[in-house]
Amino acid sequence: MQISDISFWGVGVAVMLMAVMVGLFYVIDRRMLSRIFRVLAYVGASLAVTALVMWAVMSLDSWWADLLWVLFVGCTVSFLILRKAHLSMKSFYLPLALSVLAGLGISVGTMFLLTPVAHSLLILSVMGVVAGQMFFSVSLALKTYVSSLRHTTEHYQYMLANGASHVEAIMPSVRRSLRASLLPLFRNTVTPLVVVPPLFFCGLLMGNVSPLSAAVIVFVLMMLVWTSCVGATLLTIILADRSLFDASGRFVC
Amino acid sequence: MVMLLELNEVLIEGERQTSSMMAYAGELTCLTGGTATRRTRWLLAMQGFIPVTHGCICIDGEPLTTASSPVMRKLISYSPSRLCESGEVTTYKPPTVQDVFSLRQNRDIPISNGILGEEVRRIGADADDPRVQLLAVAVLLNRPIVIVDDPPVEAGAYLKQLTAKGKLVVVATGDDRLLAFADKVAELL
Repeated sequence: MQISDISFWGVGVAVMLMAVMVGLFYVIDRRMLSRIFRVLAYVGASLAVTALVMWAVMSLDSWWADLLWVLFVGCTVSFLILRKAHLSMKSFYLPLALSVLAGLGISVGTMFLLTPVAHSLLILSVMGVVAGQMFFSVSLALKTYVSSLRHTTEHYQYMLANGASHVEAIMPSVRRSLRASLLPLFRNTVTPLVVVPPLFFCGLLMGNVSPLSAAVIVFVLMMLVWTSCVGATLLTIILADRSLFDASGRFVC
Repeated sequence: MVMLLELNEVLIEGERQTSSMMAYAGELTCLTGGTATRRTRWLLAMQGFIPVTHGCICIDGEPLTTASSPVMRKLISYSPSRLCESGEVTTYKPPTVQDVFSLRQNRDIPISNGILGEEVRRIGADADDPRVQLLAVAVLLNRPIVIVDDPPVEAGAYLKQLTAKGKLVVVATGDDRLLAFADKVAELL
């Protein structure tokens, strides 16, 4: 869709409706108004920046621009995940960034096999969905992992002291973490999809993709998202292990 | 050669006073004094879980370091005073007897409800006390060094019997009745 296709009448009606809603809050709850404006400004600015960057990447339509964008998204999502989970950047950033990039790469690569779409378009859209889900899933998983290790030290030491290898001793925490990585993803899928279809599905319909093809693409993408989130969590745990435990197996984070 | 666990002017993280101790195989050594938490920390230090800031912990003359502690632990079995989570962990399950004996290193050790029940009976303390089962598991692992944190007082005679089988037994306790069974007592300052 080009900018010239947007009807100013439609935009005008939406702005009017928004003004009515704001007016309602002005009457019944003025304290909420500043919040509404702050969020509107934030979303508007973010969307503008995102649109400009994506427009640039799509206009360039070259492999290095795509690669730069993948790297930027992977590194930024890793930073945001760690900030949300309140975890140490020093211990986790590099392992997490590598895991997230691996997850994004595998998801985008698999989608290339599935759909004959222009490279940049596919990379931008698939990576957006996967990175968005990873943000919620991996942050909860890593937070759960570290919290579990901190709160079950007696259990961990008991197992190590009585013959467990390092992997055997941390396994209950790994299990808790992987379970936590899937829970936010399941939460999105338990809504009745007939009346609340996924946003990506709606986007595909608006892009003139047939409903059946859209359903297949969304289903495959969902499988990739689940796999990427669990895989990124597991890979981060493996790669960060050396900075979380010393040579004697003591948890030092 | 008789197995020896030695603490030589050791200061561990979080402590202000050094401690020394010599525990030999065939002897029951009791660690007493201080609070239960401090005694537990000393037992954990003997297994390499708490860093040593001064002095040296040696097993059979070999210093216990961060690199050597995983190997040294193969000589030790440990019975804690309790096993529970500290804080919010959803669906926490303490390790079961099956969990311990299904570890790769322990798979060849024979275990059954009968064997475990018999060992619990030998201990002679209340079988419902979780410390009794933890002690029975530690003994059934059949390692040369048995470290026991705050055992029930009725287990004193049983722990003494273990030393007769050549085990090196280190017990942390604040109960004077258990000290009566000790061959050596090391007191925390």
